[in-house]
Amino acid sequence: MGRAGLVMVVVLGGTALALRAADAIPGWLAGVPPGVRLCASLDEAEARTGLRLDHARALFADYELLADGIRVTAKPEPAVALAMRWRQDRRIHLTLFHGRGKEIPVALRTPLPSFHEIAVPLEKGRSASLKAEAMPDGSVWQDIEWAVGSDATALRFNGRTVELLRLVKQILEDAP
Amino acid sequence: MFSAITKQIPPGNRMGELAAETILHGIVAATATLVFLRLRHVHAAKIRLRFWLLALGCPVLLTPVFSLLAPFRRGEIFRDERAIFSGSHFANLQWQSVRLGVAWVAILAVVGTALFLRDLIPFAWDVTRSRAKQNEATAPPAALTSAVNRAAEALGISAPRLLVRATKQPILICRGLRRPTIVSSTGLVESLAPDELEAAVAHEMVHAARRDPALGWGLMLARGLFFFNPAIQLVARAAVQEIEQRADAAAVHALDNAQPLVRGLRKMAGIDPERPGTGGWQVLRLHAIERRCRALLDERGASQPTPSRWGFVALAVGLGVILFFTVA
Repeated sequence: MGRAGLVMVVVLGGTALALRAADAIPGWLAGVPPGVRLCASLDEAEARTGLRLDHARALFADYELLADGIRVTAKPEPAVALAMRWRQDRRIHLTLFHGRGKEIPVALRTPLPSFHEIAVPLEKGRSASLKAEAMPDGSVWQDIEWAVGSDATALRFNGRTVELLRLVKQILEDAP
Repeated sequence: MFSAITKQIPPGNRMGELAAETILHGIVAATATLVFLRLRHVHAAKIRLRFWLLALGCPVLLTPVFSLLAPFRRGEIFRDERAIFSGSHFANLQWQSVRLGVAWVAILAVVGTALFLRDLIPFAWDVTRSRAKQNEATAPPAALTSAVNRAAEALGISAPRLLVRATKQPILICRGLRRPTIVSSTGLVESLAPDELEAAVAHEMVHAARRDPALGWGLMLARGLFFFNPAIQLVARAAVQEIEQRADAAAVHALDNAQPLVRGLRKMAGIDPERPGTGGWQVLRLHAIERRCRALLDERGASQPTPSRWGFVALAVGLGVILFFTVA
């Protein structure tokens, strides 16, 4: 390849790379990993993923969404993460994950080291997996995950276990 | 519990999105073209003009065509999984409740409008003033007729229509879409030496022979339609500069001497080589003329290799592909 070809590759390749880098700036500023997008509203999250989140709205009586709290991903399966906090005590945080497939994509639900895991029986013969997980800052969170049909749902919570199980029951009861 | 829905994100203001996309595509095409011309050391005005017209054609023609023929580019799947850049990814960026993506486009639109008005107002003023003085036409002075004949012979073309105004203001311009006419003034004939007059007239005759006034009006039309687009304003200006330099080069090539044209240009612009740094509103115009003079005196242009036709096609195709995957 002569100098002319090299210049062409530099110009076109540099342009494409510069655009790609610029495209990554919003995600980088918000601390969002590649493939994950922030959404401004539940409506936008529903439109992007094709998932209905009406039942998540039922949680908003007690919990409020955090800023940049709605994240979605399209790969490998569409999924949503909603980060919330308890209105009565803002130190209590809850993240609801929901997506197609058997598992929530890792890009949305970062795996954490768990040191305790039990199976929790749910209604209609279903069961969930409840784990105690250590966060990077040393705090202990609880994580419960279950599947209904072709969808997977999970809650990550730093409040009391009894409140977590109440939330699971509420979500399952609201299910059609 | 959760079921699939078919609801789509509202399309919003399509015209606004298209306008924002022409700005984005204009900036990308102009920047890539500028870098290409710099890296290839392209000095020949006629080649540079081709590339600037390519940079102009991207937002003016390609962007609306993409919007019309490929509406799926606006869909979220294309934006998130195919596009190399999507302006929608900036939708959530805010500072003090101001959406930064929208603010950025608004600032660029204001800059574009200011650039357009900066050239439109003096242009409209000149047109109005020249129409008011249309009845001041007089017979061409012998010196001018002689210069026109000598220039026509050197260029190997027939002399175009000549119109002379009886005013002390130095005027020399080629105008007319279908039948280009050279408009001059008695003041110009008095202020230039015979060789300078011949070179300046040869420059305008090249414009007439190449039908440059039509190209100039085309550029002005693009600027008017995309008045909000700073990239189109700057690229169109660069193209006009190249049109002037192309005519300079052809005139100098025919007359075989750059000095008379350089002296004539400097005289008409009022540039004093002994006192550089003229200020005020004219500073940019004077800077452009001085750049033309330097280009005429610079011998590098002829010795530099110029990009082949394939280079032009490759850049056009490459830019087209990149812009297809760049969505506002």
